[in-house]
Formats: sequence, structure tokens, C-alpha cells
Amino acid sequence: MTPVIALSLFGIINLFLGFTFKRQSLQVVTLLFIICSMALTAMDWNHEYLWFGDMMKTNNLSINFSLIIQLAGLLVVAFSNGFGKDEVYTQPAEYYAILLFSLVGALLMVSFQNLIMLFVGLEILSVAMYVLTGSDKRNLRSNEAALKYFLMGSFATGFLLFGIALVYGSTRSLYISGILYNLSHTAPESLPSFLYAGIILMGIGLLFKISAAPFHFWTPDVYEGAPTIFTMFMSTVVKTAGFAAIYHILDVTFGGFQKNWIITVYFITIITLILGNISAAYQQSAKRMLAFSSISHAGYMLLTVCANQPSTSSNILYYSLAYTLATAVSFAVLMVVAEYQTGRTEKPENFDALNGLAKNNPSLAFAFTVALLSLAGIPLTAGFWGKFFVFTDMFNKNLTYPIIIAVLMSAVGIYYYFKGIISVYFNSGEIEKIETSFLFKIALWSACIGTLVLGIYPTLLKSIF
Amino acid sequence: MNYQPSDFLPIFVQLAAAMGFIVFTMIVTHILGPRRSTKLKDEAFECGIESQGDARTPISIKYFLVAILFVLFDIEIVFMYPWAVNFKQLSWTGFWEMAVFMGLLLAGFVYVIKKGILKWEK
Amino acid sequence: MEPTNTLFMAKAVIILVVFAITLGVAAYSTYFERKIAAFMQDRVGPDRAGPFGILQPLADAVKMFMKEDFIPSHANKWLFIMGPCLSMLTALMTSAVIPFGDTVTVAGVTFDLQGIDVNIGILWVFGIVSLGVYGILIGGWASNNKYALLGGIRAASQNISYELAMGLSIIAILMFSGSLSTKTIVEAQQNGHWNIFYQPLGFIIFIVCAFAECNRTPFDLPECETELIGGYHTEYSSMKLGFYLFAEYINMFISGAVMATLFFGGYDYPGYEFVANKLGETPAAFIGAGALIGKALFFVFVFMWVRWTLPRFRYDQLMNLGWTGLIPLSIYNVLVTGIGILSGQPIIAGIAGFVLLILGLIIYDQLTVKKKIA
Repeated sequence: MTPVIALSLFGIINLFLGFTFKRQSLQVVTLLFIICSMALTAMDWNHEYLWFGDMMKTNNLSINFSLIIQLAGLLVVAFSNGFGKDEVYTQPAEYYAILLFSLVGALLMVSFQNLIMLFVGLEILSVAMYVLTGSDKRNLRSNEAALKYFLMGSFATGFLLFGIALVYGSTRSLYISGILYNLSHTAPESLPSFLYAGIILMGIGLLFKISAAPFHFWTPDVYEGAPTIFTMFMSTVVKTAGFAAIYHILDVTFGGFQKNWIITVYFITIITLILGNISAAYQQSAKRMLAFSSISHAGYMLLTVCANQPSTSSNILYYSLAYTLATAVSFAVLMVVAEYQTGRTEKPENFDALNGLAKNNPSLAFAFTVALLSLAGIPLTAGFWGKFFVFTDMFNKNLTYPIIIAVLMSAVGIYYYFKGIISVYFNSGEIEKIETSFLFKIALWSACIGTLVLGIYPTLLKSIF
Repeated sequence: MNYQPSDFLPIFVQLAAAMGFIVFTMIVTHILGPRRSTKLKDEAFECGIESQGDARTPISIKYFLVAILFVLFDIEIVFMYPWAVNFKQLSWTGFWEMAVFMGLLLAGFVYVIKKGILKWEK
Repeated sequence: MEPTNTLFMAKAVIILVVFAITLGVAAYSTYFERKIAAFMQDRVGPDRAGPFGILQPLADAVKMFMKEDFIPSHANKWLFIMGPCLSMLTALMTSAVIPFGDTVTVAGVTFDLQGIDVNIGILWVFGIVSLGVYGILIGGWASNNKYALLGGIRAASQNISYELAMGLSIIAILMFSGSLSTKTIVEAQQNGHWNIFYQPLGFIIFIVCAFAECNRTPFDLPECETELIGGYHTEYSSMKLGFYLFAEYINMFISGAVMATLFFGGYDYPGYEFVANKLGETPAAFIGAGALIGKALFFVFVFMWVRWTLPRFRYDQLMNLGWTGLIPLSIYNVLVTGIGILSGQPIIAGIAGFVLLILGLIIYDQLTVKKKIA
């Protein structure tokens, strides 16, 4: 867990660098920090280590998740541009430090071996996110979003803790290994029934974090209210870490009790898919649409959790990566356009604000299109393969009806994603050339190329995952 | 020496004595003192100037910052008590571990001070 | 059951005696405060009530009782009453854990001259002392007076700030004694091995914090009359005001006793062994109790001495001293103490620590001086 220690220290260092460094150099330093901790993460490849009194375990799966999470962090930092030029009201050093701290939380969530560690990781991640959501202090919507997120999030954490307590009460252990041992050495009849309540409650706590319906009500408002750059962070890092945790809890730890939770999770999955996609189709604001799209993607990923096949972990990884790249790019483009449009149009985050982007900014328009296509799951993009693997899993498990719903909902998805593409390419509008920084361009293009490469040649990573 | 919960029992004697003293005094002073209420006396005292509004006003944010900081640092200090009691048994390992802990504590402390939490004029 | 009962009775008697001593000392502190003030300002001081004005505290008490017990109409009535009561209660509750003497045998019963000997003695003191701020805060808030509110908030802010440094300065003592029990701490200091010789810095930090915790000059900003009329007790009169003032004097005495316990060997005095051999354990222990009270009274005198010597701090200076002065110093103290204990060379470590501290301060001063010039 060297990256956990490293990231924590880097965060503290970042706080102090804020007193002397300019915001652009802070950005570069933070990028270096994340790359450094990625290297530290990768160093444990092909080894299994237990850390911190056996409370955490790193193996290839957790390393893959950690790398994806840190990649998302890397993209967010690269897109951040040092948080603009507002010297008085933005504190880049603090933002970067909090980003690093929340990455620590995410890393704990993907490699926990003890339920307390899961809780600690989730809290580190969430508390950091509450703060970042409200970081636009002068914006009422941002404040509202932060408060909403905080209240709902603490509730969800309460559910998770209650679930942990029940599970602990029935299995006499907080360690995953201990729980598995006790479960396998106890006759199923003699297990107390509140164990099942505990599993469901833990599931609810985590499902809230990945914004699965019906625990999704905070998502649109929070995503819309938070500054776009942190929305990007939220929708990528939190989701990936949340899915890693859900997979670890539901499939790895309580996979043997599938019949007890599967109905609930099915129900949640299908509602998530339908609600996410249908509501997304009605949105006027592109940011809000992306929020609902993130709900719907949670639905797709939940499908593979339901299937619980040997390939599930690698599918979640692949899907997370594809989703991370595409979401980061789409939010990034949306962010620069909205920044440009602020003061020019009434609602700079609506689809209308994107009208005619392609005329003077062909590269931004292209990247945006690739990202949206990947989110929609059009072939030759990573998103297609992500969905394809998920559906294969379902098919292997003979889950026909969920597949039908999922495919139908993908069709709905194509509609609203294409709304964005249409306004970029076919609607007329006046957007001048938008200047972006060098790092922004690099990040944008590498994410785009990554999406395309993964779309054309999925086995490149599928063999590692 | 064995310590038992019953060691605390005599504290109730003290509590009773203190409570008795306080209640007795309060009642006696209430009975003995005269009572002459006038409208002007009822007002909040503000150096003789007619008082404006009441004291349910917002307070400088600095006080809240100090309070939050206190909670943080006090909890960290509470962690140090058990360490200090077992200091000799924990030996150098414990010392260095606590040194790291204190280092982090001090890092946060320096950060907060540099951030200007004690600049009361601002 | 029988011995336990007698022991309980003995403890109850001790507690009541200590209680009476505390109240008496507090009452006469008001008299001595005025006498000392008079002496320092070359005046006579109170001299009408009885010989040398010795009955002045009684006269004061009667006056306090006979005054109007006034509650402003805008105040929150019950909180307004509760404020001073809480202050008084917390002040009166602390003395139980202070060991006033060693084991004595009276009428065939053997017991310690200590209210309760518990393994968390020092934590008890801190817990109660930190509750003391509620009394002032509640009183200040309930008065519904802007000055009182400011005074209360200031008091709260100041008390919690200095509590940190106070707590940290204790830690070094705990490292020596390895116990939270006040009795054990005192026993570790017998025969002249007083902690003050090992912890001079810790003592200085502690006494400064004690001044701040008792809201005494130079840290009496909560009631600083030039800015806030009377501070948190602006609206108080009669015995409620009396409680606030009384609580302050009790706190002074108790903090003196705590300082004597932690740093000055508690009931230890030079020649304790000799007296114990000549007269027996019990008289020696009673003399020890006298020694402890004497030490505590000396600190009460120091409190008064400082009051008439030093001017008041400004509020930002006060907070700066607490946060940027005392807290880092006490952490440094803990580190040096730790190294000293573990390396087995406490004296060398202490001297090295002192030299390093002075060097560090000089270097820091040089650096900041350059900055100021530039």
C-alpha cells in the first residue's frame, strides 16, 4: 500500500506548496505525484501482499482498479487547468490536495480486507467529495448540491455501517477472510436472519455511492451543482471505487448467498436502467444528461455484478475504464465550452450552448463525439466492448429479460447521446476558437485515442484484466 | 494497586455537598434580596445608551474556526494520553510512531497557522 | 462490608473537610487579594471589619446575599440561573482527586488523605475543568446582552485554546510516572525528586495555561472592563455574580493544588522521612497535607502577584501565544522528554534540548528580522 502512504504525503506536501507555487506549476506537480503513485502501485504487480495488520490486500485485481482510479485522477488534474484564473475564490492547492486525499480513500475501497477499512475508505472519499462539491462558494446551486450530497451521503454511510454491524454480529468477524471462514463453517440454517438484512443494508450504502436507482435522487442535482471538474472526478473515481467495493462485497464475500440478494439487486438494476435512460432523454442541460447517463451506466455495470461470472471482475474493470475515459472527455469538452459561454448564453451547460462547436473547434467536437459514441456503445469505441462483455456475461447466465431491457435502453441512450453530437455538428451557432492549455490537449487526445484503441483492439487490456 | 469502579463512590458525597451548597445559596439569596423591577432595569445594560436589538447576532467566524481546530487537536492529544502512560514499555518503536503522528499533527498545525486562522483583523 | 463502610465514611469526611477548606480559602482569597493589591499599591486595604479587616469576607458574603437577585427580562431565565451554578459546581468538583497526604491511621482506620484515588485522576481534573467553560458560555449567552455574549465567546475560545497546551504539558509528566493516577504521580516524586527539576518548561507552560483557564490577569479578557464592561457577568448581581467570582478563586486554589501535585511533589516536603521516623506516619502525613495546602496557597499568591504586576494582553496576542507559542513548545517538550527517558540520559537530553531551543529561537528571530527589514 505504498501508494496510499505516498498519496497522503503528497497531499500534505501539496497543501504547503500552495503557499509558494503558482497554480499552473501546482498542476504539473500534482500530475507528477499521481504518476509517481501509479508507478508505486504498479510495482506490486503479480504479488499478493497483506498490509496494515491484514486489513488490506493488494493483488492484480486491486492494482488494476487502483490504476484506473488514479488514471481518472490524472485526467481530472490534467483537465483542471489550475482551476482558472480566479485568484481570490479558488484555492488550487487545497483542491489538488483534497483530490489526492480522496484518491487515498478510493484506493482503500478497492483493496480492503476488513469492513472497517471499507468504511474508512468510503468516508475519506465521500467527505472529500462533499467539500469539493461545495467548493464554488459563491454559487447557490453548488452550496445546495454540497448540502444535499452531504445529508444523503451521511445517511447512506449510516446504512452501510448498520449493515456492517449486522454482518459482524452474525459472522463474528470484520475481516473478509474471517467472514468467509465463519460462513463456510456454519450451517446456513443456523445463520441468524439479520445477516441477510446486513448484506442488503451494506449493498444499499454502496449502491447509493454509485447512484443506482432508487438511491439516485441526489445525482442530477449534485452533478449539476458541483463545478464541472469535480463532477468529472465524482462520476469517474467514485463510481469505479464504488463498483470495486460492491463487487468485493456482493460477489466475492457474499457470492454464496446470491439467492438472498439477487432479487433486490435485479430490481434495482432494472429500475436504474429504465430511470436513468428515460430521464436522460428528457434533459435540456448536457451536464444533467451526463448525470443521468452515469446513473444508467451504473445499471449496466450492476448487470454484470448480478451475473457473477468468473469474468465479472475483468468486465467491471473494462467497463470502468471505458466509462472513465469517455466521461472525462465529455465533461472536459463541456467544461471548456460552458466556460466560454458563461455570460454569452443564459444556460451555458445546455445542449444549445454546444451549437456549432465543430465550425471553429473541430478537435474539441471530434473528441466530444468519440466520447459520446463510446458512452452510447457504438462499435469501434471502448464503450461498445464494455457493453458487449456485460451482455455476454448475462447471456452465459441465461438472463434473457434483463438483456432485452438493457438493449432497449441502449437504444434510448443512442437518442440522447446523439442529441449532443447533432448540436455540435449540425446546429448553427457562433463559437469562436477556444484556447486550451497544452496539458488539456494531451489529456484530451490520449483519452480519445485510448477510447478508440480499446474499441478496436479490446484484448490489449482484456488479457491483463 | 487494584482500581475498582467503587473507588468513585465518594465522589457522590462531593457532588451532594456541592449541589447542596449551590441550591441552598441560590434559594437563600433569592429570598433575602429585595425586588424592585423597573422598565429601565429590565433592559440589557449597554453603558446607559438605549439598547438596540438583542444579542442573538452572528459571531465572528474566527471563533468557530478555533472551536473546530480545538476539537481536532484535542482528539489527537487524547490519543497521546494512553501512549504517554505506556511510554516506557513502548520504548523507541512507540516513540518514533508517535513522532510521525506528531509530525503530521504539526504539519496540519503549521498549515492552519499559515493559512491565517489567527489573523483576527481580517 | 464493615471495613468498606468505615473507609467510605472516612473518605466522605475527607471530602467534606477539603470542601470546607476550599470554600474557606476561596473566601479569604478575596480578602488577601485586596490586601496584596493594597500592599503593592502602597495602600492600607480593607481594615474596618474586625482587626486588620479580617472579617471582610463575611461582610462581603452578607452583602452579596442581601443584594437584589435580578434577572433581566430578555434573558433566558433558567439558563441565566444555571450559568453561575454550573461554574460553581465544576469548580467544587475538582478537589476530590487531589492527594492531600499519605496514608494516615485515625481511630484504627487506615486510609489515604485523598477523596478518591482513581486510576484516571488527572483526566478527572481535566474533564471537570473543561466543563467549566460551559458555565461562562451559558451565562454569557443567556444574559442576552452583547457584551456578555462577547465575553462568553471569548472565554470559551480562550479556554479551549489553552486547554490544548495544558493537556500537552501534562503528557511529559505522564511519561515519567506511567500512570494517570494523581497518587502515583505524587509518589514518584517523593524524597525531593520533584517534577519541576525535570520539567521546568512543562511547568512554565502549565502555569501560563492555568492563568488562562482561570481567566486571571494577564488573560482576563472575558471580563476585561475597558472593552466589555463586566464581560460575561455584566448582567449578573447578587450571589449569582458572587458564584462567578467565587468559582474563580476556587479554581485558583485548585489549580495551585494541581500544580503542587504535578510539579512540586504534592505533599512531599524536605525532611519527610525524618518526621515520619520521629513522630510516626500519621503526623507526618498531616504535616504533608499542610505542606500541600501551603504550596497551593503560594500559587494563589503568585496569581495575585501577577495580577498586580502584568498588564492585560490583547485578544489576538492571547490567541497567538496559546496557539503558536505554547502548543509547539509543549510538543517539543514531549519530544525532548521522550528522548531523555529512553536514552537514559535525561540531563544531557534536557540541556541539549534547551540549547537547541534557544538556537532555534535565535535563528528564527534572525530570519524574521531580515524579513521585517526587507
